[in-house]
Amino acid sequence: MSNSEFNQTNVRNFSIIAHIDHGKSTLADRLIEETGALSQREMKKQVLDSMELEQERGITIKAQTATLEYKAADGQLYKLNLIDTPGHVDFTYEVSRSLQACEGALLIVDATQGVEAQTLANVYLAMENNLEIIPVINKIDLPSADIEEAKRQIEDVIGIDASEAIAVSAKTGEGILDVLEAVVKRVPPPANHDDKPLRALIVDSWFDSYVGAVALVRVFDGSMKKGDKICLMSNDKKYEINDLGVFKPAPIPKKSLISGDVGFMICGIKTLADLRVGDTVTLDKNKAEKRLPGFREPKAMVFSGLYPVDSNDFGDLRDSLEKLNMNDPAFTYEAESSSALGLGFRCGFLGMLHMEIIQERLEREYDLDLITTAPSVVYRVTMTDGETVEISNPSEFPEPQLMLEVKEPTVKANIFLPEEFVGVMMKLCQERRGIQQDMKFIGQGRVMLTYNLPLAEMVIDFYDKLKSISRGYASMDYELSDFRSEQVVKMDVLVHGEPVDALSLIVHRSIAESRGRALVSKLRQLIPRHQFDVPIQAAIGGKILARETVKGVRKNVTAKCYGGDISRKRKLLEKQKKGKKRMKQIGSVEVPQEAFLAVLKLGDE
Amino acid sequence: MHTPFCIHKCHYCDFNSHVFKAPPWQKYGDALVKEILAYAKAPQFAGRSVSSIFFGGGTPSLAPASMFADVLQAIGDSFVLESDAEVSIEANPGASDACRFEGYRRAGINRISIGVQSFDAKELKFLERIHSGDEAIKAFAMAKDAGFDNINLDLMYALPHQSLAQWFTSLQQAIALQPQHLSCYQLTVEPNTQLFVTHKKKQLAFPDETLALEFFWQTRKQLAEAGFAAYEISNFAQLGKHCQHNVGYWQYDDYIGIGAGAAGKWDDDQQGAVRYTNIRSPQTYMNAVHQGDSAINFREDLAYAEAMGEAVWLGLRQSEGLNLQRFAMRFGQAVEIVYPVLLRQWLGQGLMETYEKVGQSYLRLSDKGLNIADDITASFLHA
Repeated sequence: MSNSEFNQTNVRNFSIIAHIDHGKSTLADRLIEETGALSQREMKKQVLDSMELEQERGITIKAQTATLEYKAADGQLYKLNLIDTPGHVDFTYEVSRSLQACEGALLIVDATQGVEAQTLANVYLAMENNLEIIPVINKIDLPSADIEEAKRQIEDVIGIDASEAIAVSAKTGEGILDVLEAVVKRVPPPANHDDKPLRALIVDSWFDSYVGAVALVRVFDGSMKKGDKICLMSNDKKYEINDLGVFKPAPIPKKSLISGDVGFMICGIKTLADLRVGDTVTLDKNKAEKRLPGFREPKAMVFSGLYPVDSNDFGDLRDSLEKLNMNDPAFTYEAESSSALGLGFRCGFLGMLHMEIIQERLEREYDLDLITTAPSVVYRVTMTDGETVEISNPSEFPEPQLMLEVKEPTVKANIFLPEEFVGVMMKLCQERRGIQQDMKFIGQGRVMLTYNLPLAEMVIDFYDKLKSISRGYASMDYELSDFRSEQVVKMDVLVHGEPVDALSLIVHRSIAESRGRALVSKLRQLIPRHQFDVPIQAAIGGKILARETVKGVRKNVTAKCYGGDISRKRKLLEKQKKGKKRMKQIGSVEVPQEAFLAVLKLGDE
Repeated sequence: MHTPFCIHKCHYCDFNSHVFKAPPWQKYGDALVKEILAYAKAPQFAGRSVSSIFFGGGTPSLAPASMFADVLQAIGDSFVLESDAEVSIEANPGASDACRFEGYRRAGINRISIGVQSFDAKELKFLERIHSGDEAIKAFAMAKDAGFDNINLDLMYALPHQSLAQWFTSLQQAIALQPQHLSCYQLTVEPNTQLFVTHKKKQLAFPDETLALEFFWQTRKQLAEAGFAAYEISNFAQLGKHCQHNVGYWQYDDYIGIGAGAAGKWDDDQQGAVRYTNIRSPQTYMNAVHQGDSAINFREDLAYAEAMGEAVWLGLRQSEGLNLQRFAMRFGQAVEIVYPVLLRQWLGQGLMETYEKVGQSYLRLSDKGLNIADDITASFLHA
């Protein structure tokens, strides 16, 4: 079928937005199945979450899309472009670009859970992009479903009309046709701008080892066809279109894409850094005047050092980061050298999840053993000479007498939780230097807390703590807020008398001592015993705040070793030895990988 | 030679032993003989002389003397059995009788190792031993009466709640019997034992590190005073009464392992070595041998460098240490050339030392090094 069978009137572009686990992927599966894009047999449980990591974590990291053909009740055939969105706060920019490509969005709310933190964050992004929002109440097959309450919360907490919310069960398929009809009737068709010079938004891009960089584009103006010479408006680079098509969700080649269409574009681009999400594609010989709005460089907010355990792997790590960066240009990396860990990289990430994903991919896909240092944030430091510098590495933090003022980034966090946990949550936020801004009762015994929190406190296991103290019931989303002037200091950690730069951290003066004590105590548990005593100390500017000692091993002798035991005993010893090999040698002390992240584990025994 | 049958499996034991009411002695003995005949034809062993034989278990003292007679006959027929060869058997005091001991002696067994473990009733109960302290003393007397003049007693120490004084009471009782050899093992919680599970659940009160060291060094001191020199981490003997068979393991000699779960080792022609272990289940083992199949179910080929590491590791368990001339002869390289960095490190820290004895030079652990023998010896392994 050629594209011309559909003009813009019969096209709908939409996304699904939801809190994690509210059933976004299941609903997407059901829509694909219902419109026959895939046969039942071809359906994997969740077709849209394709990467291994995503399936494991149950979240969508890379947006994908599917073009569905649907014969509506009015007898006409419609082309429905479903644009998948990533579901995590770290990828807000990617979500917003996906939403920019749509005219409407399905807002899913779990009928048993009500509105949650991400529901709110995502719906505001959709509103910013002027989308038609269709509330969908999911999981109505569950006995505890309360459709009316979910509607009430949509109206009270989010503030949009839920009277025409559609009740569905993505699991059983109930209400799916109503959803498709609503997409046709309520989502506006894209405007016909076929006559204008080409402007297509890069909604998403990823790297395919066979064809190179692939872009998912939404054509706003004009049209593009195979063989066209295009120009990327952010960097003025020019390429020829090798291939165009749509996803159903399998890729189907097409000769052209016209305004309103969503599809893929391949033009032999080698690196993803040249094919940026949010950029505008135009034709080289008939350039558009202005790019589409919203493009920005991704800004790294969380930083950490990545070092190879074996210093011989530095080259491999560099190559792997380079390759991974082609796939995900949103993280930054820069070589740095640590006196404790040798050569490595200071990497910047969009957020905590992004950091974990990159680290896991490096270890899993590139088979590297890495040491990761504790995450830190960017501080804005005004020096005594009036100069302002941004510091993201604790080991580069200036001496106190050289600084006039330090400002740290803060976030505005919305936390949704059952009333019974409000007390412990407020205590946690207080410990993390949070300032309460709002507290709302949203019905059914649930509360929304709004806090201004230092990002530095968020990056050290705040989310895990929030989940554990609320027994998993709390949900949270946050957005970056302003920089706040604070009394922060650099804390050094000395192992066996030597300062270990990779263990340094920046900490608020008011909690420095308690954190120092907790940190050395954790390190004492993590650093294995040696043949000698190993003192561990926390210090600020030469003043020791806390000290613990890993006592030396005094006895380690295998009692029995003869006859049939020899192979087995040797293997036991070899295992001990291999364990040590994965550790980092700092002076005469072997320090395990986990020790560098000890600050994330304080308080768990 | 391994005999895998026991009346009861003690909870700390990680050897290959199986509880059998009536072990199939005839069938098992036949399998042993069949294995011996097969090894006699194997190129790496054919025509070689045998300097020691060890009947271990399990509980070999449950077996009729005729089984050992058959086995020794087969060895004598197929190899060159040296006239002064040491032939040991392990005996459980709870499964010993005078008549059988005499039979063992007549069959050609000249050394007996009695699994006493303790003379204290409570300790024996904790260890799940089937015998009493008195029975241990009786077994010793029976062995002497049967004509054994080379007797070892196995003891265990550092049991949960055991005090030094309690241990020395057992140790002194053993010394008073005037055996030729004593093996004193610190109780170790081995994986895959019942004790391992119990300890995980209940956290038994084993002595802490300081006390364990006290046990270790005091034992050496008391035994030295009684005329028993430590010649390995856990083994003590009167002058000239070392267990030749066990010394062979630590000096990297070849040995054939016969029976269910038995292990063997031979030097290959690439200056490496081969280690193997037989099928552990007695039934499966016997079926395999009787069908003419190999009894081996695990084999590892150690490359040159791996074999060198093993030789150092095992050699350093001995009090005299690693004989450097023997090492150089066996591997064609001096130990100082192979491990310059490690030697500098350990010698420099005073954890190892070198010395000369009757024209031979040795490398051994210092007293300080002995405390952390595993840390040091493992560093030579090729992992």
